[in-house]
Amino acid sequence: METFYFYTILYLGIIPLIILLFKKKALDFKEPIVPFIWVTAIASVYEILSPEIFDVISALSYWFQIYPFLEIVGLFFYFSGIFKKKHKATINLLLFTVLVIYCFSFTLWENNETSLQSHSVNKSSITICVIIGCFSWFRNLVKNTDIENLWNLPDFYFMSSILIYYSSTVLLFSLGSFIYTGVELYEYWWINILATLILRILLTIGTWKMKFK
Amino acid sequence: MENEVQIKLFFLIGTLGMVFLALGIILMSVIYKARVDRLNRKKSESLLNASLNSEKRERQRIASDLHDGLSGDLSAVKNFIALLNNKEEDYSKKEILQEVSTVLTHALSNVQNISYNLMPPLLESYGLVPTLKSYFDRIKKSNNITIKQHYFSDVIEIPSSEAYEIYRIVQELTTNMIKHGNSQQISISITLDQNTLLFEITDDGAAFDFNEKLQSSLGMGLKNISSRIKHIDAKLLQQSVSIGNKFQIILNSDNYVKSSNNR
Repeated sequence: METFYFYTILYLGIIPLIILLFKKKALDFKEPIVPFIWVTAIASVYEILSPEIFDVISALSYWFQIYPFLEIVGLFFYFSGIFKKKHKATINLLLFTVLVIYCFSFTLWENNETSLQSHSVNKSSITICVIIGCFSWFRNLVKNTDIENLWNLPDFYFMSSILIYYSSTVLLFSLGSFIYTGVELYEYWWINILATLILRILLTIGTWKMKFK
Repeated sequence: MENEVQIKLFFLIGTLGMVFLALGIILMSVIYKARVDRLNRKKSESLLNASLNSEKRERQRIASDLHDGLSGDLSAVKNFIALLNNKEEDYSKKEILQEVSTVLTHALSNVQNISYNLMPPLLESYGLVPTLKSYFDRIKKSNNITIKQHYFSDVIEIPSSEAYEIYRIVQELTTNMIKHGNSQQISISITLDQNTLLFEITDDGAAFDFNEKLQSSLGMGLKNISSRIKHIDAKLLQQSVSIGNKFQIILNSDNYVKSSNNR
């Protein structure tokens, strides 16, 4: 049963991209969320296929170093698109900081065991940026009187999904290297699974509600 | 060991805290937005009420100015012309005075029509049904059209503000039916079903989709109907019929109609 849930969540990551493909907008990068949807789909495909190709530990180790870079690209593309020229300097500064931290994380990534440490560092810096970005967006949202119905606003789903996912998993990833004692980390892995489920469901709803010109 | 427990506790409490923080931000935004939207809706409703009320007041003022001022002056001029005509012996001049008198009669009739259309005098004094009857009589005179009317009572005591809005809606719909739909027959009925007043207007002219036209129409007519319906808290339904159009206006009338029926 657990395997069923696990694979369901993995496949859920591809659905937003499938919706975009049906709408023939999968390569429409004028929509700022599109790269992040690609990142989510790539993550799903990798997580489905990698255990078949590599051994699980190596697969995780490489993934923990590659995935944050894809996340940075997807998320900063999204936030830059959402805020347009507003907060441009802040976004660039945050992007620069996150990239510096990402480069620094390579010094921590010496072997499979230490990959969790580098992942912690990357995830923490990304989460701080996400929380700042989402908080600014929600603040602008309540000030904006033009939006009549939040439930028809795709960005409301995207922002909520990103905020919930990164807030709920920040401690799991940042303290991962501390609480990692053999199988103990995996006792808490359900938090990541649950957060991923919420992220992917909300991403799917948001993509479904997207209207293209 | 103790350190490990502390880390796990910190992790669990921290994660819960972060989740609540995220959900809190989302929930607060949703609640705040809903509240602001409700306030904005109320504000636009009161603006709409104010504009409809001021429109009614202005119509009333212009109608009474036309009736008491211009109409009175024209009547006086007409009397003077009649006096001059009586005293005049030159036949050619008498003919001109006769022409002037005819033009004045037309002008007077036009002014009275405009004044009536702006604010029917019967509405305030006699109520909705006599006003509608009088309106349809005028329509019949100026158009070759059959009008069937059915009213459950001659006295429907709804507040004059609502009677006024209903009258304007009926006026706009029937004008559209005649002008754009080339209708030959229009039926109007007012029935009372428990606490609901039902106004039904049907015609045999060209069919049109009210909501579709409302979205695309550049004219003010349909928008005004929609605003007036909102103003009196009624519902406008368009029923599908094989020929022409059928509109229903449903007005909840809990208090006032009952009392008028009991009399």
